[in-house]
Amino acid sequence: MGMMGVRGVISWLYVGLGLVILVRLLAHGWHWELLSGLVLAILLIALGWYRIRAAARMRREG
Amino acid sequence: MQKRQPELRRSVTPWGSFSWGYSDVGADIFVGLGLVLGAAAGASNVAFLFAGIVYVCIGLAYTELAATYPVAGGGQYFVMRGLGDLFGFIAGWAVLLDFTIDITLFAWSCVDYLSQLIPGFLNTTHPWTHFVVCLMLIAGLATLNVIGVRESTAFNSFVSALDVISETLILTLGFLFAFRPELLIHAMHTAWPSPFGLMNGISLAIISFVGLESISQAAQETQRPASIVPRTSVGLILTILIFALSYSNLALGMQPWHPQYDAHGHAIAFWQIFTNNADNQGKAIALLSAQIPYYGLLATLYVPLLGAVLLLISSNSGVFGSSRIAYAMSTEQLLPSIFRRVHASFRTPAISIIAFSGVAVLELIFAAIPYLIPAANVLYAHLFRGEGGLDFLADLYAFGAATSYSFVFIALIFLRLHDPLSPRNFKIPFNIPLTVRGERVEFPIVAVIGFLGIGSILVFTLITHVIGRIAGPLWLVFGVLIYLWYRKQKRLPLFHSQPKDWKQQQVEILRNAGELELMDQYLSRVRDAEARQGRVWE
Repeated sequence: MGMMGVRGVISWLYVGLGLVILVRLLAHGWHWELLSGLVLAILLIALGWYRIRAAARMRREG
Repeated sequence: MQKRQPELRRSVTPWGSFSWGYSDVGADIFVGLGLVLGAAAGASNVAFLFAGIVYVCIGLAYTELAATYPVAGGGQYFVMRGLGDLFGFIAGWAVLLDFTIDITLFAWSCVDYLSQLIPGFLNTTHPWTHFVVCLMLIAGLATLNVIGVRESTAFNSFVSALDVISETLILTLGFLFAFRPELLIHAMHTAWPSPFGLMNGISLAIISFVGLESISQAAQETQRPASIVPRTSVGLILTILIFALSYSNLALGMQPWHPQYDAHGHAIAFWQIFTNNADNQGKAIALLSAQIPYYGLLATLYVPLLGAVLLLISSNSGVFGSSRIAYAMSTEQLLPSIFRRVHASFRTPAISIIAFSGVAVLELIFAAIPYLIPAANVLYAHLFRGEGGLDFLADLYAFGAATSYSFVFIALIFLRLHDPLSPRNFKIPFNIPLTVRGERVEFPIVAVIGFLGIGSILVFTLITHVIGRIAGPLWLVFGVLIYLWYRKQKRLPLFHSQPKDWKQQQVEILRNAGELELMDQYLSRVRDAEARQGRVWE
């Protein structure tokens, strides 16, 4: 697995980790103390998804 | 006619550009996490969130400026171009303070991480060993830089890749197996700090995001920086922000693998091991990763070593960066010419390297005195509220960063208004369109928000850090005196700027960067603007 593969795995890990954190935090209901954790979860999903899409675009464009 | 300066080779790839920034900024969280947990306790994640929002604004500002003006001078160059020589000098001098602190702070923390594997390096129990090892590291890095050996881009990239993988693994396993949201809520309820503690925590959290100068340094050595830099910078900014937010949330809500006890044998939460414990604060990531079930066994062995290597690279970037910025400032006649004198055999700015490494050693001595000479503790307690060691270094680091970043925001706003013709391949979002002197410009709202944010962090630093309040402004006053003395000697304007042909300079910058389309675009815009005013630009 080359560097692109490792980056792909990490990107999917970010999305997965973001979803795990989001679900675990929301399972506790709304508490303002969880706000920075929720921001973190959304950022993880956004960054992971951005990288996956960027990699897909690069592959499409050769 | 001015002699043409030799150009740096543009051979840095997009990943090289990312790892250059990562090895500089990514190491900060290894130092910042423990300090913030010690200061802001249950509000550490909020401190990181506040500083993180400001950092995103700073990162976007640097990305826009580095893509528009891809020169290695960074903040100093942007401020000089926007606000003139004197303010350019002050911003550069503040960045120089940060680079010298960079050298000492990261060498200090590197030894702290090594102390996890070699207990003889522990600062509180073996202060002289700790001091001598730090001194040897600084002297070694200065020597390597004088003889011209730099860590290769390939090694930088390898360590950065290893660290991104390792940190992702720590956070994934940590959140899966050791994170309890109810512990996070409990910590924030029961250990919310005083306003003073929160301000202190926020001012320390900003040190986890220092080193954005590397974006412009990488820009100078990247082919077609206007296209590459924005792509790599946005990824870098988000990655660093995510790591900082993750660690702080994980540390507050962590169920440690092994129970933790205080000095009296009472069970405590994981984050409490950092309260009033300078040794633990210096190696927070190593301690946190060791508490992840099962994975902690492996992490105990390699995380301190990986952290130490990353911190050493960051310390080296301080030696390299300080000499480079002093060289750039001397070339612009902001500092005496001695700082651009190059060693006859090694072809490196040896005097700059030795001078600023010497400043770093002085900072090391000031930071270490309370540990080396216990009698001095009384004096430090009286004068500096007992701040020494990492606290001392972090104070000055926060002051230098907040000062230079404040100027960069003002310079960005000024350049948007006064240099609308330079092509901006990347622009900070959320702008208000205006017309100034017949030209369409865009006023950056985010820069104003960022300026207010970093301004408040500067105020927090001055309120909560005695050393930052005294030594930081003293450093600036000392620098301005040198500047005024030098300019007077050279019969240069003291408070005004030397006339410069910025348009011609911009053409050369774009040509050297290989941004020929942007250069053509710039030339045509300048000619149109001149024609509208009835002039012809040659």
